[in-house]
Amino acid sequence: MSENGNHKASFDDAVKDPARIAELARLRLNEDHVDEILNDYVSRAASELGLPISLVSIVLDDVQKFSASVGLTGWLEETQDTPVEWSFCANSVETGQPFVVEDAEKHAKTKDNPLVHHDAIRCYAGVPMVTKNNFVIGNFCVIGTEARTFKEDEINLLREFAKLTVDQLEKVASSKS
Amino acid sequence: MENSAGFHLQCPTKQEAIQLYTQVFDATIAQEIWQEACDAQELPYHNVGIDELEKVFDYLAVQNGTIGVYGMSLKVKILSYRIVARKKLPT
Repeated sequence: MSENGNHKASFDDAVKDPARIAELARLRLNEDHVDEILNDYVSRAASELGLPISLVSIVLDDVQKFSASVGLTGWLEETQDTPVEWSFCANSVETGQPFVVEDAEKHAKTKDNPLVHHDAIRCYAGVPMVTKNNFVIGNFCVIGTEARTFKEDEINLLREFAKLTVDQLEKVASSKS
Repeated sequence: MENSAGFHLQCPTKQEAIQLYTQVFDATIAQEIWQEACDAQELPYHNVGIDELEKVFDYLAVQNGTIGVYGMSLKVKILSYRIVARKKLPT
Protein backbone atom coordinates (compact mmCIF):
# COMPACT_ATOMS: atom_id res chain seq x y z
CA MET A 1 0.00 0.00 0.00
CA SER A 2 1.23 3.52 -0.76
CA GLU A 3 2.08 6.00 1.97
CA ASN A 4 -1.15 7.84 1.17
CA GLY A 5 -3.04 4.55 1.29
CA ASN A 6 -1.57 3.71 4.68
CA HIS A 7 -2.47 7.15 5.96
CA LYS A 8 -6.04 6.84 4.67
CA ALA A 9 -6.42 3.46 6.41
CA SER A 10 -5.01 4.84 9.66
CA PHE A 11 -7.28 7.89 9.45
CA ASP A 12 -10.35 5.77 8.73
CA ASP A 13 -9.48 3.32 11.51
CA ALA A 14 -9.32 6.14 14.03
CA VAL A 15 -12.37 8.09 12.89
CA LYS A 16 -14.62 5.08 12.29
CA ASP A 17 -13.47 3.10 15.36
CA PRO A 18 -16.68 1.44 16.67
CA ALA A 19 -15.60 2.05 20.27
CA ARG A 20 -15.25 5.78 19.56
CA ILE A 21 -18.66 5.78 17.84
CA ALA A 22 -20.12 4.13 20.94
CA GLU A 23 -18.58 6.91 23.05
CA LEU A 24 -20.24 9.52 20.81
CA ALA A 25 -23.51 7.66 21.31
CA ARG A 26 -22.98 7.56 25.10
CA LEU A 27 -22.66 11.34 25.07
CA ARG A 28 -25.65 11.60 22.68
CA LEU A 29 -23.61 13.81 20.39
CA ASN A 30 -25.80 13.05 17.40
CA GLU A 31 -28.57 15.10 18.99
CA ASP A 32 -29.20 18.68 17.96
CA HIS A 33 -28.88 20.71 21.11
CA VAL A 34 -28.29 24.42 21.55
CA ASP A 35 -25.96 24.93 24.51
CA GLU A 36 -25.45 28.53 25.58
CA ILE A 37 -22.42 27.58 27.66
CA LEU A 38 -20.65 26.13 24.62
CA ASN A 39 -21.69 29.14 22.56
CA ASP A 40 -20.07 31.33 25.20
CA TYR A 41 -16.84 29.29 25.04
CA VAL A 42 -16.52 29.67 21.26
CA SER A 43 -17.30 33.39 21.43
CA ARG A 44 -14.63 33.89 24.08
CA ALA A 45 -12.06 31.81 22.21
CA ALA A 46 -12.58 33.74 18.98
CA SER A 47 -12.37 37.04 20.82
CA GLU A 48 -9.28 36.17 22.85
CA LEU A 49 -7.37 34.91 19.83
CA GLY A 50 -8.64 37.70 17.58
CA LEU A 51 -10.05 35.35 14.96
CA PRO A 52 -13.47 35.40 13.28
CA ILE A 53 -14.46 31.74 13.71
CA SER A 54 -14.45 29.27 16.58
CA LEU A 55 -16.13 25.86 16.70
CA VAL A 56 -16.92 22.91 18.90
CA SER A 57 -16.61 20.31 16.18
CA ILE A 58 -17.81 16.80 16.90
CA VAL A 59 -16.30 14.27 14.50
CA LEU A 60 -18.81 11.50 13.80
CA ASP A 61 -17.95 8.51 11.62
CA ASP A 62 -18.26 10.32 8.31
CA VAL A 63 -18.98 13.97 9.04
CA GLN A 64 -18.12 16.72 11.48
CA LYS A 65 -21.01 18.42 13.24
CA PHE A 66 -20.68 21.77 14.96
CA SER A 67 -22.20 21.67 18.44
CA ALA A 68 -21.36 25.34 18.88
CA SER A 69 -20.02 27.94 16.51
CA VAL A 70 -19.38 31.62 16.04
CA GLY A 71 -18.46 33.46 12.87
CA LEU A 72 -19.54 30.97 10.22
CA THR A 73 -21.00 32.42 7.04
CA GLY A 74 -22.58 31.12 3.85
CA TRP A 75 -23.44 27.47 3.44
CA LEU A 76 -21.38 26.41 6.47
CA GLU A 77 -23.55 28.61 8.65
CA GLU A 78 -26.60 26.95 7.11
CA THR A 79 -25.48 23.35 7.48
CA GLN A 80 -23.36 23.61 10.68
CA ASP A 81 -21.40 20.60 9.50
CA THR A 82 -19.24 19.15 6.73
CA PRO A 83 -18.18 15.75 5.41
CA VAL A 84 -15.25 14.34 7.36
CA GLU A 85 -12.95 14.46 4.32
CA TRP A 86 -12.91 18.26 4.60
CA SER A 87 -12.52 18.30 8.35
CA PHE A 88 -9.35 19.85 9.76
CA CYS A 89 -10.48 18.68 13.19
CA ALA A 90 -10.53 14.99 12.23
CA ASN A 91 -6.72 15.05 12.06
CA SER A 92 -6.66 15.20 15.85
CA VAL A 93 -8.93 12.18 16.11
CA GLU A 94 -6.20 10.25 14.33
CA THR A 95 -3.23 11.67 16.24
CA GLY A 96 -4.66 12.69 19.61
CA GLN A 97 -2.64 15.89 19.25
CA PRO A 98 -3.44 19.53 18.44
CA PHE A 99 -3.59 20.31 14.74
CA VAL A 100 -2.23 23.70 13.75
CA VAL A 101 -2.22 25.18 10.26
CA GLU A 102 -0.55 28.55 9.84
CA ASP A 103 -1.25 28.80 6.11
CA ALA A 104 -3.79 26.35 4.75
CA GLU A 105 -2.87 27.10 1.15
CA LYS A 106 0.62 25.76 1.80
CA HIS A 107 -0.01 22.97 4.31
CA ALA A 108 0.20 19.50 2.75
CA LYS A 109 -2.92 18.24 4.51
CA THR A 110 -5.14 21.22 3.68
CA LYS A 111 -3.98 22.88 0.45
CA ASP A 112 -6.47 20.89 -1.67
CA ASN A 113 -9.36 21.20 0.78
CA PRO A 114 -12.51 22.76 -0.76
CA LEU A 115 -13.02 24.80 2.41
CA VAL A 116 -9.70 26.52 1.72
CA HIS A 117 -10.51 27.28 -1.89
CA HIS A 118 -14.22 28.06 -1.66
CA ASP A 119 -14.63 29.31 1.91
CA ALA A 120 -11.37 31.18 2.39
CA ILE A 121 -10.16 29.26 5.42
CA ARG A 122 -6.50 30.16 5.79
CA CYS A 123 -5.38 29.45 9.36
CA TYR A 124 -6.56 26.93 11.93
CA ALA A 125 -5.71 25.76 15.43
CA GLY A 126 -7.64 22.95 17.05
CA VAL A 127 -7.06 20.87 20.16
CA PRO A 128 -8.65 17.50 20.80
CA MET A 129 -11.59 17.11 23.14
CA VAL A 130 -10.82 13.96 25.10
CA THR A 131 -13.50 12.20 27.14
CA LYS A 132 -13.03 10.55 30.54
CA ASN A 133 -12.81 7.23 28.67
CA ASN A 134 -9.91 8.64 26.65
CA PHE A 135 -11.63 8.98 23.29
CA VAL A 136 -11.13 11.99 21.04
CA ILE A 137 -14.61 13.14 20.06
CA GLY A 138 -13.55 16.17 18.02
CA ASN A 139 -11.76 19.47 18.36
CA PHE A 140 -12.24 22.84 19.96
CA CYS A 141 -10.84 25.14 17.32
CA VAL A 142 -10.38 28.64 15.98
CA ILE A 143 -10.20 29.58 12.31
CA GLY A 144 -9.12 32.65 10.38
CA THR A 145 -9.14 33.89 6.83
CA GLU A 146 -5.54 35.12 6.84
CA ALA A 147 -2.32 33.22 7.48
CA ARG A 148 -1.00 33.59 11.02
CA THR A 149 1.15 31.83 13.60
CA PHE A 150 -0.12 30.47 16.91
CA LYS A 151 1.77 30.86 20.19
CA GLU A 152 1.97 28.12 22.81
CA ASP A 153 -0.09 30.10 25.28
CA GLU A 154 -2.85 30.38 22.66
CA ILE A 155 -2.85 26.60 22.18
CA ASN A 156 -2.96 26.18 25.95
CA LEU A 157 -5.98 28.47 26.10
CA LEU A 158 -7.71 26.27 23.53
CA ARG A 159 -6.80 23.25 25.67
CA GLU A 160 -8.61 24.83 28.60
CA PHE A 161 -11.70 25.50 26.49
CA ALA A 162 -11.58 21.93 25.14
CA LYS A 163 -11.55 20.53 28.68
CA LEU A 164 -14.40 22.79 29.78
CA THR A 165 -16.36 21.74 26.71
CA VAL A 166 -15.95 18.02 27.44
CA ASP A 167 -17.01 18.64 31.04
CA GLN A 168 -20.14 20.40 29.79
CA LEU A 169 -20.94 17.64 27.27
CA GLU A 170 -20.56 15.01 30.00
CA LYS A 171 -22.82 17.03 32.29
CA VAL A 172 -25.52 17.38 29.62
CA ALA A 173 -25.34 13.68 28.78
CA SER A 174 -25.66 12.76 32.46
CA SER A 175 -28.72 14.95 32.82
CA LYS A 176 -30.41 13.14 29.92
CA SER A 177 -29.72 9.59 31.10
CA MET B 1 -25.76 10.35 -8.31
CA GLU B 2 -23.73 13.24 -9.68
CA ASN B 3 -20.89 14.91 -7.82
CA SER B 4 -21.39 18.40 -6.52
CA ALA B 5 -19.17 20.64 -8.58
CA GLY B 6 -15.72 21.04 -7.09
CA PHE B 7 -16.58 19.50 -3.76
CA HIS B 8 -16.56 15.88 -4.93
CA LEU B 9 -19.49 15.27 -2.65
CA GLN B 10 -21.83 12.42 -3.43
CA CYS B 11 -25.35 11.98 -2.20
CA PRO B 12 -25.51 9.10 0.28
CA THR B 13 -27.62 6.15 -0.83
CA LYS B 14 -29.84 3.52 0.73
CA GLN B 15 -27.12 0.95 0.05
CA GLU B 16 -24.52 3.08 1.84
CA ALA B 17 -26.81 3.45 4.83
CA ILE B 18 -27.50 -0.26 5.13
CA GLN B 19 -23.79 -0.98 4.70
CA LEU B 20 -23.00 1.38 7.59
CA TYR B 21 -25.35 -0.45 9.90
CA THR B 22 -24.08 -3.81 8.69
CA GLN B 23 -20.62 -2.84 10.01
CA VAL B 24 -22.01 -2.63 13.52
CA PHE B 25 -24.92 -5.03 13.48
CA ASP B 26 -25.47 -7.99 11.18
CA ALA B 27 -26.97 -7.65 7.73
CA THR B 28 -30.43 -8.77 8.83
CA ILE B 29 -30.61 -6.22 11.62
CA ALA B 30 -29.29 -3.52 9.29
CA GLN B 31 -32.13 -4.28 6.88
CA GLU B 32 -34.59 -4.20 9.78
CA ILE B 33 -33.30 -0.80 10.91
CA TRP B 34 -33.86 0.55 7.42
CA GLN B 35 -37.30 -1.07 7.20
CA GLU B 36 -38.34 0.39 10.55
CA ALA B 37 -37.22 3.87 9.47
CA CYS B 38 -39.15 3.57 6.18
CA ASP B 39 -42.23 2.35 8.03
CA ALA B 40 -41.99 5.18 10.55
CA GLN B 41 -41.87 7.72 7.75
CA GLU B 42 -44.59 5.86 5.83
CA LEU B 43 -42.30 5.26 2.89
CA PRO B 44 -41.90 2.09 0.86
CA TYR B 45 -38.69 0.11 1.49
CA HIS B 46 -37.46 0.48 -2.07
CA ASN B 47 -38.28 4.14 -2.49
CA VAL B 48 -34.90 5.86 -2.67
CA GLY B 49 -35.59 9.28 -4.15
CA ILE B 50 -33.56 12.05 -2.55
CA ASP B 51 -36.51 13.58 -0.68
CA GLU B 52 -37.45 10.18 0.72
CA LEU B 53 -33.85 9.45 1.68
CA GLU B 54 -33.72 12.68 3.64
CA LYS B 55 -36.86 11.71 5.56
CA VAL B 56 -35.44 8.30 6.42
CA PHE B 57 -32.14 9.85 7.53
CA ASP B 58 -34.06 12.39 9.64
CA TYR B 59 -35.67 9.50 11.49
CA LEU B 60 -32.44 7.57 11.93
CA ALA B 61 -30.60 10.68 13.21
CA VAL B 62 -32.82 11.00 16.27
CA GLN B 63 -32.57 7.39 17.38
CA ASN B 64 -30.63 6.46 20.49
CA GLY B 65 -27.17 4.90 20.47
CA THR B 66 -25.02 4.14 17.46
CA ILE B 67 -28.07 4.02 15.19
CA GLY B 68 -28.49 7.74 15.87
CA VAL B 69 -24.80 8.56 15.36
CA TYR B 70 -24.72 6.91 11.94
CA GLY B 71 -28.12 8.38 11.15
CA MET B 72 -26.86 11.88 11.93
CA SER B 73 -23.87 11.30 9.64
CA LEU B 74 -26.19 10.33 6.81
CA LYS B 75 -28.44 13.30 7.49
CA VAL B 76 -25.49 15.72 7.50
CA LYS B 77 -24.12 14.28 4.28
CA ILE B 78 -27.37 14.63 2.40
CA LEU B 79 -27.94 18.16 3.73
CA SER B 80 -24.43 19.20 2.69
CA TYR B 81 -24.90 17.62 -0.71
CA ARG B 82 -28.21 19.35 -1.29
CA ILE B 83 -26.98 22.76 -0.17
CA VAL B 84 -23.77 22.61 -2.18
CA ALA B 85 -25.71 21.43 -5.23
CA ARG B 86 -28.45 24.05 -4.78
CA LYS B 87 -26.00 26.91 -4.44
CA LYS B 88 -24.07 25.72 -7.51
CA LEU B 89 -20.80 26.43 -5.75
CA PRO B 90 -17.88 26.97 -8.14
CA THR B 91 -15.57 24.24 -9.34
